Amino acid sequence: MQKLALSDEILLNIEKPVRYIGGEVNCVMKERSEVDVRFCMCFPDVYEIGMSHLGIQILYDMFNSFDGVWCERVYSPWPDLDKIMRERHIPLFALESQDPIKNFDFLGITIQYEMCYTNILQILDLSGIPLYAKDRTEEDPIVIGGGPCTYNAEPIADFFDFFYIGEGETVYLDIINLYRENRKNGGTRRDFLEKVAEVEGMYVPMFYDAEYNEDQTLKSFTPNNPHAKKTIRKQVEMKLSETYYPDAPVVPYLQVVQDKVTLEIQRGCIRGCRFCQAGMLYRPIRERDVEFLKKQAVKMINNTGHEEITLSSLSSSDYKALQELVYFLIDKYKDKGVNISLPSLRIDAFALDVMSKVQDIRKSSVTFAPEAGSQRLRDVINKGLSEHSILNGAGDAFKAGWNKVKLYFMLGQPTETYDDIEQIAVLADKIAREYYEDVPKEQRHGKCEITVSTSFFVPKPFTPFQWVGMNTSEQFTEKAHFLSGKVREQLNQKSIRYHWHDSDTTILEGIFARGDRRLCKVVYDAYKKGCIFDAWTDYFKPELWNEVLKENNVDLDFYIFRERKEVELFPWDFIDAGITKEFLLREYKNGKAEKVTPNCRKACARCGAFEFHGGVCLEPRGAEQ
Amino acid sequence: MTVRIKFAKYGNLKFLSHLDVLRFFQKAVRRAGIDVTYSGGFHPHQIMSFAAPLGLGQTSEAEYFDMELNSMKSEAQVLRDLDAQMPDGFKIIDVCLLPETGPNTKKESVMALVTASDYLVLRKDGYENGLTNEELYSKLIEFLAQKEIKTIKTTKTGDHEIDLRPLIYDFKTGSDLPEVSDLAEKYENGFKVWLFLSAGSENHIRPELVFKAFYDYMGLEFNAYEYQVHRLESYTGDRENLIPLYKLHRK
Repeated sequence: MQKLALSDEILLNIEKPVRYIGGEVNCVMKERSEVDVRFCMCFPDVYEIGMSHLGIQILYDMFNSFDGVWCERVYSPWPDLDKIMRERHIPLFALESQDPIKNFDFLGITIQYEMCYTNILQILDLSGIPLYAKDRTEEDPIVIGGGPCTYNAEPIADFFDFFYIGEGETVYLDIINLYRENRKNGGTRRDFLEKVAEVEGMYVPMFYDAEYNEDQTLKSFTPNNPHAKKTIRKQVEMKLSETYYPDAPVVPYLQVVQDKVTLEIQRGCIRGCRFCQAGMLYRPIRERDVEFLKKQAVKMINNTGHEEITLSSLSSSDYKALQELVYFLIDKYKDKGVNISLPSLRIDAFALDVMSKVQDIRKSSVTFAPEAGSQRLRDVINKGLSEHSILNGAGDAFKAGWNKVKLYFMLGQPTETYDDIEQIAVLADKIAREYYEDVPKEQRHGKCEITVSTSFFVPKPFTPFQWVGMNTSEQFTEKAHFLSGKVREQLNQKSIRYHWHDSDTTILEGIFARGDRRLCKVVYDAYKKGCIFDAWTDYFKPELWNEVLKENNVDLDFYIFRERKEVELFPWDFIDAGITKEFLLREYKNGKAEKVTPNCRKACARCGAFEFHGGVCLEPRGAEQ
Repeated sequence: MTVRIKFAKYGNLKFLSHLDVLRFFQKAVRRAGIDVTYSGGFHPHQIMSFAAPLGLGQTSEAEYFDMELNSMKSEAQVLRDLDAQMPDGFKIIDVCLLPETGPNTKKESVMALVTASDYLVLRKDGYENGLTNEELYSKLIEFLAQKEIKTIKTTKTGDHEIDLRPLIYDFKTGSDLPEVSDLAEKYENGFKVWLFLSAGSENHIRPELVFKAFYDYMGLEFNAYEYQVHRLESYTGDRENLIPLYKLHRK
């Protein structure tokens, strides 16, 4: 039995000690004497969130399949333990071996959202690793960043030795081997980073200098080291049915957010919604082979004993063999206590049939994400969902026995008017009318429940809206209040509920999403003042953040509110994500002209992803939608 | 058919809560491929019922739960299949098929059966209270020689004064105790006490309560983290005729 890093007394004095003891079913243990590279994979949030992330499960499995490499895990210690570790100078440790992170060769941090930035510093600090990459010595682990936020990691660039841009399945083994070779040759940390910089997709921030214009915009971004590439092209795994996928993911003892088998059926999206970063970054869409998925599902359920399996993708309905896969799973597992969940499903006859088999119609709801209330604004954002199909889908669901509908929208998208916002309330009312006017009274189950939720739009890099000015907190709040009032004016207002969230973190997300290197100091100062777990309402400290923004003279107008010029050089322009800036700009203009761009299966929009020679780009077009 | 499973929970898994243990077994049973009975509905679950939950931080080699099965080859097969799914920290010790109950008889509840449990109480290393093991043992013998031990027991309904003495069925200290279980924690200081206590819904006495009263008696501050409790067995029946749960339906 592994000796634990924390004493019984500490573990019995904190919430959920099981977060810190490792030893879960399927976690990988290796002999220290039989490995020469120690890698620690980190999700900088609490265990229950981090353990729900598929990417880490895939990479954990991959690293541990490499000879001589032992990959372990670490998550953010919750504030109760954080305090004790600081008071007693207990170094942060990996779950499997319970060894200090400081003694590892690598610390790989996945960066999924901006509000975890201070937690990254917490991890480094508690590990005893200097926060700034420039201050690290030969004794410190190499700190790597990965995940969606690395497509503009400038606001945290100073804290990382390098970023791995793109999908992790491709070149990590090469990097490990470079590390071994460098160590054998007695090379330094810097020697290693110079070799890494030559690998496609690897970005070593300290090898680049940024210069700024008088108006604060970026003037130039250039390598200061001959080994560093001028542009960095993302890594893409084109053979998704032949690459790493865990047969036996780690099964947490604790109830985690995604307490189920996650089957990633495809990567990428054909839809091209103009606000959506994932839909742009992961192009081209690549499907996994259905036979591969069936085999994988069976193995994973057998090896974990999970009671639920979920199909994961940005838009499940676009997976061509979806029906075959879903009916296979239902037939195989219906009587074995394994439930099937299907997020991101377009509501049609097939979806309703599947849902009626796997859910309790009386308790569940059907979900639509129109994102905008009016057809005009849906055309601006290229959300190919028409009012007709929403009303039909909802009407069919009502006739089949459902009476709950959830609707998701965004406020603050470009060109939005108060009329567009009012249309959200009107659409909700029309759905309610489908229920009261088309379902005979004797077939109804009480009132229908329409839930409208809105979030605030944050423009993201590598989207057609990367030039757009973001709304202010006041505008957001006003829009939400306006919508709330409009909902109350509807005929069926008693059947409509409206939810919206505060805009505090939205502004920060906006600043960091399109920020530059000068913001590293802001993240650092916020952390030093005591900000951690910013994604958690109970721990988010807006007053401290406001202080830090003020002290650092962060100009919100510059970073988020202004409309950016077409010619402006962006801090992320040196990254080649496969899609060209010309395409994004063209799409931005199409958006402003309310012009819809067909999805990838209907017509090629010449986004640039064809360069990867795979996925939808090589499918015959016109045959399917 | 219903089987009664006896298992051990030890080592680092003493930090699992009772709820974590329930979740763990739902998944372990599915991994083991046991033909378990599911409840109906859209969120089917296995039909299991657990005996007295163990406190967080305690170890045990006598935890029990009953589970409904559709079929099985043999008790031994269920034991092998389920034990193969146990990580370090869980161990399946016994599987026993319960006699069929008639249509009008109420199923016996494993929780309600328990009337007594015995425990090892060990002292963790690194704690000091100025007394040697021998001194602590003799104080404990003196403490338990009292005719009456009044103490306060806190329950859901509030604080109640009770007399502990009749609820402590037996005890042994140090060298009077035979070899300590392999599954209990090991400490260098060698302190060990065995307590046989009343348990169940009526008069459930936790070893910590006895030790708290013992420290009060000595006039010392009691630190619950200082001691490790390990359950050895749970029993059913009245005091004169206590039967270990796993033997209840053994021929």
